[in-house]
Amino acid sequence: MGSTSTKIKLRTSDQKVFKVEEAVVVQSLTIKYFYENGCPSSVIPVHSVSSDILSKILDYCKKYVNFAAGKEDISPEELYEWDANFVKVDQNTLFNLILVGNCLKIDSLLDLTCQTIVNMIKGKRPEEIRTTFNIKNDYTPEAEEAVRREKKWAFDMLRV
Amino acid sequence: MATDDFISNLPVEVLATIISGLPAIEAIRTTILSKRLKDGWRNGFRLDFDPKGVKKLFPAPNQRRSTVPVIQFGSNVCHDDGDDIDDTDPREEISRVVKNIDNVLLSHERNLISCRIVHLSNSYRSGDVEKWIKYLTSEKEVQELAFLCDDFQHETLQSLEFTNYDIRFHRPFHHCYNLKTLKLYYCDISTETLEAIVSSCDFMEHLSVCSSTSSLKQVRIFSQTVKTVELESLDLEGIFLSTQSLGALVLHSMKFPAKSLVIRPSKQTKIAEILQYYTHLLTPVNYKASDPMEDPNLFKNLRELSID
Repeated sequence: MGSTSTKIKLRTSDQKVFKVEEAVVVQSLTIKYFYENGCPSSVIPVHSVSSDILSKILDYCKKYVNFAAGKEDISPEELYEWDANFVKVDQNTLFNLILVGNCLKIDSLLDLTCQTIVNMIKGKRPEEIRTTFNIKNDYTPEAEEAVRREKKWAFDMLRV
Repeated sequence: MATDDFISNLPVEVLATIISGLPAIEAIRTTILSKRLKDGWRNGFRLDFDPKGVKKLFPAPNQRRSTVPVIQFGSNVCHDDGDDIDDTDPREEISRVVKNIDNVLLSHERNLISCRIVHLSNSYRSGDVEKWIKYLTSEKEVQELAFLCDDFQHETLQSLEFTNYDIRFHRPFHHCYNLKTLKLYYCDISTETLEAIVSSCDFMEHLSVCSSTSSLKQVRIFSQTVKTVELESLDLEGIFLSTQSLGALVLHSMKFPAKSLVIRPSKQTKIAEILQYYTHLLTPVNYKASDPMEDPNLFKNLRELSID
Protein backbone atom coordinates (compact mmCIF):
# COMPACT_ATOMS: atom_id res chain seq x y z
CA MET A 1 0.00 0.00 0.00
CA GLY A 2 2.91 2.33 -0.65
CA SER A 3 0.85 4.02 -3.33
CA THR A 4 -1.85 5.31 -0.97
CA SER A 5 -0.51 8.82 -1.33
CA THR A 6 -0.76 8.72 -5.12
CA LYS A 7 -3.36 11.23 -6.23
CA ILE A 8 -5.49 10.97 -9.29
CA LYS A 9 -6.99 14.08 -10.87
CA LEU A 10 -10.60 14.11 -12.00
CA ARG A 11 -12.30 16.90 -13.94
CA THR A 12 -16.05 17.31 -13.54
CA SER A 13 -18.64 18.62 -15.98
CA ASP A 14 -18.39 22.07 -14.39
CA GLN A 15 -14.61 22.04 -14.98
CA LYS A 16 -13.55 21.58 -11.38
CA VAL A 17 -10.53 19.39 -10.75
CA PHE A 18 -10.52 16.99 -7.81
CA LYS A 19 -7.32 15.41 -6.53
CA VAL A 20 -8.23 12.10 -5.02
CA GLU A 21 -6.29 9.25 -3.47
CA GLU A 22 -5.83 6.36 -5.83
CA ALA A 23 -7.32 3.82 -3.39
CA VAL A 24 -10.51 5.87 -3.16
CA VAL A 25 -11.01 6.55 -6.82
CA VAL A 26 -10.35 3.01 -8.06
CA GLN A 27 -13.57 2.00 -6.31
CA SER A 28 -14.94 3.07 -9.65
CA LEU A 29 -14.14 0.32 -12.11
CA THR A 30 -14.54 2.76 -14.99
CA ILE A 31 -11.96 5.18 -13.61
CA LYS A 32 -9.72 2.30 -12.59
CA TYR A 33 -9.72 1.12 -16.21
CA PHE A 34 -8.93 4.63 -17.48
CA TYR A 35 -6.19 5.09 -14.95
CA GLU A 36 -4.52 1.78 -15.63
CA ASN A 37 -4.77 2.06 -19.38
CA GLY A 38 -4.20 5.75 -19.86
CA CYS A 39 -1.56 8.20 -18.85
CA PRO A 40 -1.45 8.21 -15.02
CA SER A 41 -0.42 11.82 -14.68
CA SER A 42 -3.13 13.28 -16.87
CA VAL A 43 -6.50 14.52 -15.66
CA ILE A 44 -9.32 12.04 -16.12
CA PRO A 45 -12.46 13.77 -17.37
CA VAL A 46 -15.73 12.70 -15.80
CA HIS A 47 -17.95 14.65 -18.17
CA SER A 48 -21.27 13.46 -16.95
CA VAL A 49 -20.65 14.23 -13.28
CA SER A 50 -21.12 17.57 -11.59
CA SER A 51 -18.80 18.63 -8.79
CA ASP A 52 -21.42 18.40 -6.03
CA ILE A 53 -22.38 14.85 -7.02
CA LEU A 54 -18.75 13.84 -7.40
CA SER A 55 -17.85 15.13 -3.96
CA LYS A 56 -20.74 13.19 -2.46
CA ILE A 57 -19.65 10.06 -4.29
CA LEU A 58 -16.07 10.53 -3.16
CA ASP A 59 -17.31 10.84 0.42
CA TYR A 60 -18.96 7.48 -0.03
CA CYS A 61 -15.88 5.85 -1.56
CA LYS A 62 -13.61 7.29 1.14
CA LYS A 63 -15.85 5.98 3.89
CA TYR A 64 -15.71 2.49 2.46
CA VAL A 65 -12.01 2.47 1.72
CA ASN A 66 -11.28 3.69 5.25
CA PHE A 67 -13.70 1.22 6.76
CA ALA A 68 -12.12 -1.66 4.84
CA ALA A 69 -8.66 -0.48 5.94
CA GLY A 70 -9.80 -0.31 9.57
CA LYS A 71 -9.34 3.45 9.69
CA GLU A 72 -12.96 4.17 10.52
CA ASP A 73 -13.69 3.46 14.13
CA ILE A 74 -17.27 2.39 13.54
CA SER A 75 -19.21 -0.86 13.74
CA PRO A 76 -20.90 -2.39 10.69
CA GLU A 77 -24.22 -1.22 12.21
CA GLU A 78 -22.96 2.35 12.33
CA LEU A 79 -21.80 2.07 8.75
CA TYR A 80 -25.26 0.82 7.86
CA GLU A 81 -26.72 3.87 9.57
CA TRP A 82 -24.26 6.08 7.73
CA ASP A 83 -25.50 4.51 4.47
CA ALA A 84 -29.10 5.20 5.45
CA ASN A 85 -28.28 8.86 6.04
CA PHE A 86 -26.23 9.07 2.87
CA VAL A 87 -29.29 8.26 0.74
CA LYS A 88 -31.59 10.65 2.60
CA VAL A 89 -31.50 13.11 -0.28
CA ASP A 90 -33.98 14.55 -2.73
CA GLN A 91 -34.92 12.43 -5.72
CA ASN A 92 -32.91 14.55 -8.10
CA THR A 93 -29.72 13.80 -6.15
CA LEU A 94 -30.66 10.16 -5.58
CA PHE A 95 -31.20 9.48 -9.27
CA ASN A 96 -28.03 11.34 -10.13
CA LEU A 97 -26.14 9.12 -7.71
CA ILE A 98 -27.67 6.10 -9.42
CA LEU A 99 -26.75 7.28 -12.90
CA VAL A 100 -23.20 8.14 -11.89
CA GLY A 101 -22.82 4.95 -9.87
CA ASN A 102 -23.89 3.05 -12.98
CA CYS A 103 -21.67 5.00 -15.33
CA LEU A 104 -18.57 4.90 -13.11
CA LYS A 105 -19.32 1.29 -12.14
CA ILE A 106 -19.27 1.68 -8.37
CA ASP A 107 -21.25 -1.45 -7.60
CA SER A 108 -21.82 -0.99 -3.88
CA LEU A 109 -23.08 2.55 -4.39
CA LEU A 110 -25.38 1.38 -7.18
CA ASP A 111 -26.72 -1.40 -4.95
CA LEU A 112 -27.35 1.03 -2.10
CA THR A 113 -29.13 3.63 -4.19
CA CYS A 114 -31.18 1.11 -6.18
CA GLN A 115 -32.23 -0.58 -2.95
CA THR A 116 -33.40 2.81 -1.72
CA ILE A 117 -35.68 3.07 -4.74
CA VAL A 118 -36.86 -0.51 -4.24
CA ASN A 119 -37.85 0.38 -0.67
CA MET A 120 -39.75 3.38 -1.97
CA ILE A 121 -41.75 1.13 -4.32
CA LYS A 122 -42.29 -1.89 -2.07
CA GLY A 123 -45.72 -2.24 -0.57
CA LYS A 124 -47.19 0.68 -2.47
CA ARG A 125 -50.25 0.64 -4.64
CA PRO A 126 -49.64 1.50 -8.30
CA GLU A 127 -51.21 4.94 -7.95
CA GLU A 128 -49.00 5.68 -4.95
CA ILE A 129 -45.90 4.68 -6.91
CA ARG A 130 -46.95 6.98 -9.75
CA THR A 131 -47.33 9.88 -7.33
CA THR A 132 -44.04 9.20 -5.55
CA PHE A 133 -42.03 9.18 -8.76
CA ASN A 134 -44.20 11.48 -10.83
CA ILE A 135 -44.80 8.76 -13.39
CA LYS A 136 -47.27 9.85 -16.02
CA ASN A 137 -49.89 7.22 -16.66
CA ASP A 138 -49.97 7.20 -20.45
CA TYR A 139 -52.38 4.28 -20.73
CA THR A 140 -55.90 4.89 -21.88
CA PRO A 141 -58.36 3.58 -19.29
CA GLU A 142 -59.16 0.70 -21.65
CA ALA A 143 -55.50 -0.18 -22.16
CA GLU A 144 -54.84 -0.01 -18.43
CA GLU A 145 -57.77 -2.28 -17.79
CA ALA A 146 -56.45 -4.73 -20.41
CA VAL A 147 -53.00 -4.83 -18.80
CA ARG A 148 -54.55 -5.36 -15.42
CA ARG A 149 -56.75 -8.15 -16.71
CA GLU A 150 -53.80 -9.86 -18.34
CA LYS A 151 -51.95 -9.91 -15.01
CA LYS A 152 -55.05 -10.31 -12.93
CA TRP A 153 -53.48 -12.80 -10.53
CA ALA A 154 -50.79 -10.36 -9.43
CA PHE A 155 -53.28 -7.59 -8.74
CA ASP A 156 -55.92 -9.86 -7.38
CA MET A 157 -54.18 -10.60 -4.13
CA LEU A 158 -57.07 -9.27 -2.20
CA ARG A 159 -59.47 -10.33 0.41
CA VAL A 160 -62.91 -11.24 -0.84
CA MET B 1 -42.49 14.15 -4.22
CA ALA B 2 -40.70 14.29 -7.51
CA THR B 3 -41.16 16.97 -10.08
CA ASP B 4 -39.55 14.94 -12.84
CA ASP B 5 -40.11 11.35 -13.78
CA PHE B 6 -36.58 10.11 -13.14
CA ILE B 7 -37.46 6.45 -12.93
CA SER B 8 -38.82 6.16 -16.46
CA ASN B 9 -35.63 7.65 -17.85
CA LEU B 10 -33.24 5.28 -16.19
CA PRO B 11 -31.07 3.07 -18.38
CA VAL B 12 -32.65 -0.35 -18.98
CA GLU B 13 -30.01 -2.11 -16.89
CA VAL B 14 -30.54 0.11 -13.87
CA LEU B 15 -34.30 -0.23 -14.12
CA ALA B 16 -33.81 -4.00 -14.28
CA THR B 17 -31.69 -3.86 -11.13
CA ILE B 18 -34.42 -1.98 -9.28
CA ILE B 19 -37.21 -4.25 -10.47
CA SER B 20 -35.10 -7.29 -9.56
CA GLY B 21 -35.18 -6.10 -5.96
CA LEU B 22 -38.94 -6.45 -5.79
CA PRO B 23 -40.87 -9.63 -5.07
CA ALA B 24 -42.05 -11.11 -8.41
CA ILE B 25 -45.65 -10.12 -7.74
CA GLU B 26 -44.77 -6.47 -7.16
CA ALA B 27 -42.35 -6.52 -10.11
CA ILE B 28 -45.19 -7.63 -12.36
CA ARG B 29 -47.49 -4.98 -10.94
CA THR B 30 -45.13 -2.31 -12.31
CA THR B 31 -46.52 -3.12 -15.77
CA ILE B 32 -49.52 -0.98 -14.92
CA LEU B 33 -47.53 2.17 -14.11
CA SER B 34 -46.92 3.37 -17.65
CA LYS B 35 -46.21 2.11 -21.16
CA ARG B 36 -42.53 2.83 -20.72
CA LEU B 37 -42.40 0.63 -17.63
CA LYS B 38 -44.68 -2.06 -19.02
CA ASP B 39 -41.94 -4.49 -19.98
CA GLY B 40 -39.31 -3.52 -17.42
CA TRP B 41 -39.93 -6.61 -15.31
CA ARG B 42 -39.07 -8.88 -18.24
CA ASN B 43 -35.44 -7.80 -17.91
CA GLY B 44 -35.17 -8.47 -14.19
CA PHE B 45 -32.56 -11.01 -13.20
CA ARG B 46 -34.21 -12.20 -10.01
CA LEU B 47 -37.66 -13.66 -9.51
CA ASP B 48 -38.97 -14.36 -6.05
CA PHE B 49 -42.35 -16.03 -6.20
CA ASP B 50 -43.40 -15.62 -2.60
CA PRO B 51 -46.71 -13.99 -1.76
CA LYS B 52 -45.66 -13.62 1.87
CA GLY B 53 -45.00 -10.02 2.78
CA VAL B 54 -46.46 -8.72 -0.46
CA LYS B 55 -48.98 -6.06 0.34
CA LYS B 56 -52.40 -6.89 -0.85
CA LEU B 57 -54.34 -4.50 -2.97
CA PHE B 58 -57.38 -4.45 -0.79
CA PRO B 59 -60.65 -3.27 -2.19
CA ALA B 60 -62.04 -0.07 -0.73
CA PRO B 61 -63.28 -0.63 2.84
CA ASN B 62 -66.97 -0.56 1.96
CA GLN B 63 -66.42 -3.28 -0.60
CA ARG B 64 -64.27 -5.53 1.49
CA ARG B 65 -66.91 -7.99 2.36
CA SER B 66 -68.45 -8.27 -1.06
CA THR B 67 -68.14 -11.67 -2.67
CA VAL B 68 -66.86 -10.29 -5.95
CA PRO B 69 -63.26 -9.08 -5.99
CA VAL B 70 -63.17 -5.38 -6.74
CA ILE B 71 -59.97 -3.54 -7.48
CA GLN B 72 -59.80 0.20 -7.27
CA PHE B 73 -57.17 2.02 -9.18
CA GLY B 74 -58.49 5.52 -8.75
CA SER B 75 -56.11 7.80 -6.93
CA ASN B 76 -58.57 8.53 -4.18
CA VAL B 77 -58.98 5.07 -2.81
CA CYS B 78 -58.62 5.24 0.90
CA HIS B 79 -57.79 2.22 2.93
CA ASP B 80 -56.67 2.51 6.46
CA ASP B 81 -53.77 0.23 7.15
CA GLY B 82 -54.71 -0.10 10.77
CA ASP B 83 -57.48 -2.39 9.70
CA ASP B 84 -55.22 -4.80 7.87
CA ILE B 85 -56.24 -7.94 9.65
CA ASP B 86 -55.26 -10.53 7.15
CA ASP B 87 -57.52 -13.53 7.26
CA THR B 88 -56.78 -14.89 3.81
CA ASP B 89 -55.49 -18.42 3.63
CA PRO B 90 -51.81 -18.21 2.66
CA ARG B 91 -52.16 -21.52 0.84
CA GLU B 92 -54.70 -20.00 -1.48
CA GLU B 93 -52.34 -17.18 -2.34
CA ILE B 94 -49.40 -19.51 -2.86
CA SER B 95 -51.44 -21.66 -5.21
CA ARG B 96 -52.60 -18.61 -7.16
CA VAL B 97 -49.01 -17.49 -7.67
CA VAL B 98 -47.84 -21.01 -8.50
CA LYS B 99 -50.48 -21.34 -11.22
CA ASN B 100 -48.98 -18.35 -13.01
CA ILE B 101 -45.29 -19.21 -12.73
CA ASP B 102 -45.19 -20.93 -16.14
CA ASN B 103 -46.66 -17.90 -17.87
CA VAL B 104 -44.33 -15.50 -16.09
CA LEU B 105 -41.27 -17.57 -16.97
CA LEU B 106 -42.33 -17.80 -20.61
CA SER B 107 -42.85 -14.07 -21.01
CA HIS B 108 -39.74 -13.16 -19.03
CA GLU B 109 -36.98 -12.33 -21.45
CA ARG B 110 -33.54 -12.76 -20.03
CA ASN B 111 -31.43 -15.18 -18.03
CA LEU B 112 -31.89 -15.25 -14.30
CA ILE B 113 -29.31 -15.02 -11.59
CA SER B 114 -31.68 -16.29 -8.99
CA CYS B 115 -35.15 -17.63 -8.64
CA ARG B 116 -37.09 -18.61 -5.55
CA ILE B 117 -40.39 -20.41 -5.61
CA VAL B 118 -42.73 -20.98 -2.71
CA HIS B 119 -45.14 -23.76 -3.53
CA LEU B 120 -47.45 -26.33 -2.01
CA SER B 121 -46.81 -30.04 -1.88
CA ASN B 122 -49.10 -30.70 -4.86
CA SER B 123 -46.43 -29.08 -7.05
CA TYR B 124 -44.17 -31.95 -6.12
CA ARG B 125 -46.68 -34.59 -7.00
CA SER B 126 -47.66 -32.99 -10.28
CA GLY B 127 -44.02 -32.79 -11.30
CA ASP B 128 -44.10 -28.99 -11.52
CA VAL B 129 -41.07 -28.54 -9.27
CA GLU B 130 -39.02 -30.83 -11.48
CA LYS B 131 -40.29 -29.05 -14.59
CA TRP B 132 -39.34 -25.62 -13.16
CA ILE B 133 -35.88 -26.82 -12.23
CA LYS B 134 -35.34 -28.17 -15.75
CA TYR B 135 -36.66 -25.03 -17.40
CA LEU B 136 -34.83 -22.60 -15.14
CA THR B 137 -31.49 -24.33 -15.46
CA SER B 138 -31.64 -25.04 -19.19
CA GLU B 139 -33.52 -22.01 -20.54
CA LYS B 140 -32.71 -19.35 -17.96
CA GLU B 141 -29.27 -20.58 -16.95
CA VAL B 142 -30.20 -19.74 -13.39
CA GLN B 143 -27.35 -19.62 -10.88
CA GLU B 144 -29.23 -19.73 -7.59
CA LEU B 145 -32.41 -21.67 -7.11
CA ALA B 146 -34.48 -21.93 -3.94
CA PHE B 147 -37.68 -23.78 -3.23
CA LEU B 148 -39.85 -23.65 -0.18
CA CYS B 149 -42.64 -26.12 0.20
CA ASP B 150 -44.88 -24.25 2.59
CA ASP B 151 -47.44 -26.93 2.95
CA PHE B 152 -47.22 -29.99 5.08
CA GLN B 153 -50.68 -29.54 6.41
CA HIS B 154 -51.88 -32.85 5.11
CA GLU B 155 -53.36 -34.51 8.08
CA THR B 156 -52.80 -37.87 6.43
CA LEU B 157 -49.05 -37.37 6.24
CA GLN B 158 -47.43 -39.80 8.64
CA SER B 159 -43.99 -40.41 7.29
CA LEU B 160 -41.60 -38.01 5.64
CA GLU B 161 -38.16 -38.70 4.29
CA PHE B 162 -35.68 -36.21 2.84
CA THR B 163 -32.37 -37.01 1.19
CA ASN B 164 -29.89 -34.35 0.11
CA TYR B 165 -31.96 -31.36 1.23
CA ASP B 166 -30.99 -28.12 2.80
CA ILE B 167 -33.59 -27.67 5.52
CA ARG B 168 -33.37 -24.17 6.84
CA PHE B 169 -36.73 -23.50 8.39
CA HIS B 170 -38.98 -25.37 10.74
CA ARG B 171 -42.04 -23.35 9.74
CA PRO B 172 -43.15 -25.74 6.94
CA PHE B 173 -43.36 -28.54 9.49
CA HIS B 174 -45.65 -26.70 11.86
CA HIS B 175 -48.79 -28.26 10.53
CA CYS B 176 -47.62 -31.83 10.30
CA TYR B 177 -50.10 -32.82 12.92
CA ASN B 178 -49.92 -36.53 12.34
CA LEU B 179 -46.34 -36.94 11.32
CA LYS B 180 -44.96 -40.01 13.06
CA THR B 181 -41.79 -40.72 11.17
CA LEU B 182 -39.17 -38.27 10.00
CA LYS B 183 -36.03 -39.43 8.23
CA LEU B 184 -33.32 -37.03 7.17
CA TYR B 185 -30.47 -38.37 5.10
CA TYR B 186 -27.59 -36.20 3.98
CA CYS B 187 -29.54 -33.09 4.90
CA ASP B 188 -28.10 -29.77 5.87
CA ILE B 189 -29.95 -28.83 9.03
CA SER B 190 -29.00 -26.85 12.12
CA THR B 191 -29.32 -27.99 15.71
CA GLU B 192 -32.06 -25.44 16.35
CA THR B 193 -34.09 -26.27 13.26
CA LEU B 194 -34.07 -29.99 14.03
CA GLU B 195 -35.07 -29.31 17.62
CA ALA B 196 -37.89 -27.02 16.52
CA ILE B 197 -39.21 -29.50 13.96
CA VAL B 198 -39.37 -32.31 16.52
CA SER B 199 -41.02 -30.03 19.07
CA SER B 200 -43.66 -28.95 16.59
CA CYS B 201 -44.69 -32.47 15.62
CA ASP B 202 -46.80 -33.62 18.53
CA PHE B 203 -47.06 -37.24 17.45
CA MET B 204 -43.59 -37.96 16.22
CA GLU B 205 -42.46 -41.43 17.17
CA HIS B 206 -39.47 -42.15 15.02
CA LEU B 207 -36.60 -39.90 14.08
CA SER B 208 -33.66 -40.86 11.90
CA VAL B 209 -30.82 -38.52 11.11
CA CYS B 210 -28.02 -39.78 8.94
CA SER B 211 -24.92 -38.05 7.60
CA SER B 212 -25.88 -34.47 8.19
CA THR B 213 -23.42 -31.69 7.46
CA SER B 214 -21.37 -29.88 10.05
CA SER B 215 -24.14 -27.36 10.77
CA LEU B 216 -25.72 -30.03 12.96
CA LYS B 217 -23.64 -29.60 16.10
CA GLN B 218 -25.96 -31.28 18.54
CA VAL B 219 -29.06 -33.43 18.52
CA ARG B 220 -31.48 -32.05 21.08
CA ILE B 221 -34.88 -33.63 21.36
CA PHE B 222 -37.66 -32.59 23.67
CA SER B 223 -40.70 -34.74 23.11
CA GLN B 224 -43.35 -36.73 24.89
CA THR B 225 -43.84 -39.17 22.08
CA VAL B 226 -40.56 -40.02 20.35
CA LYS B 227 -39.91 -43.72 20.83
CA THR B 228 -37.08 -44.42 18.45
CA VAL B 229 -34.08 -42.28 17.72
CA GLU B 230 -31.66 -43.45 15.12
CA LEU B 231 -28.48 -41.49 14.55
CA GLU B 232 -25.91 -42.51 12.02
CA SER B 233 -22.61 -41.12 10.76
CA LEU B 234 -22.81 -37.86 12.64
CA ASP B 235 -19.97 -35.91 14.13
CA LEU B 236 -21.58 -34.13 17.06
CA GLU B 237 -20.70 -32.06 20.08
CA GLY B 238 -23.48 -33.61 22.08
CA ILE B 239 -26.74 -35.52 22.24
CA PHE B 240 -29.52 -34.48 24.57
CA LEU B 241 -32.66 -36.57 24.57
CA SER B 242 -35.56 -35.64 26.77
CA THR B 243 -38.34 -37.96 25.84
CA GLN B 244 -40.68 -39.89 28.11
CA SER B 245 -41.26 -42.68 25.64
CA LEU B 246 -37.78 -43.47 24.42
CA GLY B 247 -37.67 -47.18 23.67
CA ALA B 248 -34.83 -47.54 21.22
CA LEU B 249 -31.72 -45.57 20.64
CA VAL B 250 -29.56 -46.64 17.75
CA LEU B 251 -26.16 -45.08 17.33
CA HIS B 252 -24.22 -46.12 14.28
CA SER B 253 -20.77 -44.82 13.33
CA MET B 254 -21.18 -41.87 15.64
CA LYS B 255 -18.57 -39.50 16.90
CA PHE B 256 -19.25 -37.40 19.98
CA PRO B 257 -17.69 -36.78 23.40
CA ALA B 258 -18.92 -39.41 25.85
CA LYS B 259 -19.73 -36.83 28.52
CA SER B 260 -22.20 -35.12 26.31
CA LEU B 261 -24.69 -37.93 25.87
CA VAL B 262 -27.53 -36.98 28.16
CA ILE B 263 -30.81 -38.85 28.33
CA ARG B 264 -33.67 -37.60 30.49
CA PRO B 265 -35.73 -38.23 32.54
CA SER B 266 -33.49 -39.79 35.13
CA LYS B 267 -34.78 -43.31 34.70
CA GLN B 268 -33.58 -43.15 31.15
CA THR B 269 -30.32 -41.62 32.19
CA LYS B 270 -29.30 -45.04 33.33
CA ILE B 271 -29.51 -46.21 29.77
CA ALA B 272 -26.80 -43.77 28.97
CA GLU B 273 -24.80 -45.00 31.90
CA ILE B 274 -25.24 -48.57 30.82
CA LEU B 275 -24.19 -47.63 27.34
CA GLN B 276 -21.04 -46.21 28.79
CA TYR B 277 -20.48 -49.05 31.18
CA TYR B 278 -21.05 -52.02 28.96
CA THR B 279 -19.78 -50.91 25.65
CA HIS B 280 -16.55 -49.41 26.88
CA LEU B 281 -16.84 -47.22 23.85
CA LEU B 282 -17.74 -44.33 26.02
CA THR B 283 -15.78 -43.34 29.04
CA PRO B 284 -17.77 -43.66 32.25
CA VAL B 285 -18.01 -40.26 33.86
CA ASN B 286 -19.15 -39.91 37.46
CA TYR B 287 -20.60 -43.37 37.28
CA LYS B 288 -22.47 -43.90 40.54
CA ALA B 289 -25.06 -46.68 40.18
CA SER B 290 -23.77 -49.69 42.02
CA ASP B 291 -25.51 -52.09 39.72
CA PRO B 292 -27.69 -50.74 36.98
CA MET B 293 -29.47 -54.08 36.62
CA GLU B 294 -30.97 -53.58 40.06
CA ASP B 295 -33.70 -51.49 38.59
CA PRO B 296 -36.21 -53.88 37.02
CA ASN B 297 -38.01 -51.04 35.23
CA LEU B 298 -34.96 -49.90 33.43
CA PHE B 299 -35.58 -51.73 30.21
CA LYS B 300 -39.31 -51.56 30.31
CA ASN B 301 -39.46 -49.57 27.13
CA LEU B 302 -36.14 -50.49 25.69
CA ARG B 303 -36.53 -53.03 22.94
CA GLU B 304 -33.64 -52.21 20.75
CA LEU B 305 -30.26 -50.90 21.56
CA SER B 306 -27.25 -51.00 19.40
CA ILE B 307 -23.96 -49.31 19.27
CA ASP B 308 -21.64 -49.59 16.39
